Amino acid sequence: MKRVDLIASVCSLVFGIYFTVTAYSYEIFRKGTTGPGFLPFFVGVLLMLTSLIWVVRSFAQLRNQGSAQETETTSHRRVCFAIALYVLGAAAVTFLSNYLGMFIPLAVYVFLIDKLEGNTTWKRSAVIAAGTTVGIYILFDVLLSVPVPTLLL
Amino acid sequence: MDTFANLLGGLEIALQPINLLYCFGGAVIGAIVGALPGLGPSAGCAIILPLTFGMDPIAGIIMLCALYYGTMYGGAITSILLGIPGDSASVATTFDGYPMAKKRGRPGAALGMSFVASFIGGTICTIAFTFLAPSLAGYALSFGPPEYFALMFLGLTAVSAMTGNDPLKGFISAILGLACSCVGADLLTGAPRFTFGSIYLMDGVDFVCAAMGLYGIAELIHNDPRSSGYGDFGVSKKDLSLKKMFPTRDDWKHSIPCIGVGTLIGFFIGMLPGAGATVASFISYATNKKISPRGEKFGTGVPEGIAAPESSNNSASIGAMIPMLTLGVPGSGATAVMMGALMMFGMAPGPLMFQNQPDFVWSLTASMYIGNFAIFVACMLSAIYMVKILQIPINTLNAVVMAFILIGAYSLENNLFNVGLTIFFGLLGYLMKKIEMPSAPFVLSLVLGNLFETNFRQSMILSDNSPVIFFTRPISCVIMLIAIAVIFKPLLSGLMSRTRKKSEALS
Repeated sequence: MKRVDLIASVCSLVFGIYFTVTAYSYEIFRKGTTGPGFLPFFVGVLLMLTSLIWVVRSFAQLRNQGSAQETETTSHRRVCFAIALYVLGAAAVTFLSNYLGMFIPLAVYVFLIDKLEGNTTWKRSAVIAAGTTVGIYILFDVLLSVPVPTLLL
Repeated sequence: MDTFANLLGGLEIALQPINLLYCFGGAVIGAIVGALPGLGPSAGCAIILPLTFGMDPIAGIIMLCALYYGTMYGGAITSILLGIPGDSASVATTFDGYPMAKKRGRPGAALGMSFVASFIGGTICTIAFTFLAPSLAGYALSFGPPEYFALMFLGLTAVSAMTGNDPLKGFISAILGLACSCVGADLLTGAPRFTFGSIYLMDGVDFVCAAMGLYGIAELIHNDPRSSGYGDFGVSKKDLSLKKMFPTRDDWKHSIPCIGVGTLIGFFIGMLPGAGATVASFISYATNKKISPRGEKFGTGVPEGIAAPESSNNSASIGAMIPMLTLGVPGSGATAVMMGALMMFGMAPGPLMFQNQPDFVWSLTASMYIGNFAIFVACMLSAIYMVKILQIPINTLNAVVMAFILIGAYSLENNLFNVGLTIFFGLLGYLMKKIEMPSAPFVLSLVLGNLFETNFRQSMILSDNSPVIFFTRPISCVIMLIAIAVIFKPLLSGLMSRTRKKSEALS
């Protein structure tokens, strides 16, 4: 937890520096009044300062912690699996929607989540996937007239 | 007496079967639209608008209006049961609604409290609308950029109420939200900021994408369906009875003051063009957290944490009608669509509407009473079935919820970029959970950031770069002083407490 805190605080500090430098290029003042870079610049500076405090605090806590083991409540395997499923999987659906339309990738995705996250048969997961996709089609495409990309369908 | 006579005349028209049908239909559609992630009142009104083309104007506007406040009821459903806000105005409901359902095992009571608070807030504001609408119209006109800035500043001080156990992380979360609000074309000069050359980012980061990612996807990543405790809402059959939907005496004791304060805040903020139900719900939540005797328990699943935002978002939806009808100035996106409908029907919203089209105005007012009551009853009766969603196996629920999040994100602007953005915020939300950084300040700052900056810069232009303008205008001065008091109150309380202890020790 403390190590993660330190990493996060350093990332926040780096982001703050980037944000401040970029904001500086947007004109803080323009024609005698505040410009587009005004708020971003001060937000960036504030972020840098608070992140620095966080870095120092995290570092101090890590030093005080010494060699004590940090307890992890969630296994790394579960974390990697969850990120792969919900982030990378969703990203894949988004990417494939450009070529296959949204319904087919969505149906496969629903099938995978239902199958992988629980002890269900593939038939049940297939029914859930088909039902969800049909339901979304009727609700969004037919009733609400949202132009969901269909492409192949 | 004139008002009562007019209202009775309006009731006579509103109670016609066809108008009743459109009122109830609009409210139910609104509740469904509000429950769907990604679709809010503006989208709902825009989708239903073509259906009203062939209708009688009174029936058409009754339906649109019913849809608008219906979405406020519906948005709470997914916020409470799934932890995914149905629309931006129900994000604050998630803070206590989901913990009350999940950790305290009272999903029915949580839903019941949200519907009751919505009904009370909506009805009180409809009464205020009935008697005060024309006289309050001028109030909306008196708000200029300095007053809006002061209001946003007051809203941002609410961050201090959402920082949780680690104020530093809460504060950094709020700053990150403000940073996120800077993305997009600058509203005053049009200069692109942090868009990385993408045209999709020129409009900035959509708040609903951020909310769905931070609260929806992050929750799905964070929780392990196979571990014990997840998904175990402790819902027994007796929790599903209608009696259990109503707040208990203890719930009422703590929630009634919050409903009152939330209603007041929602009504006055809803009247301000551009502020809306989202801003009202956040400010109401934060204000009630500060003044409630159980304020420290907000965020852990207390019923007053649901009552505060829900009463204010419903009252804000009614309050938004006032500038629309009396001044011809829409208070929100949904009222802008309704104004478009009014013009399409050949009506001219404005100061003379109450005189020139009394039938229309009073039948609309009467329909708000009827519609509010009807959707409240419908929601309470169907809440028993809504709670059954929690009995669906978690893996199936996750799969369906994820599908709805992705399609909901797409439906915001009909492009896949928003889907990608939602996924990004999902990952960010998970990382924030991992380091125990609260996401509520982030979301609040994202909502208020644009208005905060734009109104500050406009005020500087008006005052030749003199910040004194915020203290020379009476309304702005009062709001700024309240905000400053809110910031320094904890310090002053601490100082007074130490002084008192010292004097007690000496005596």
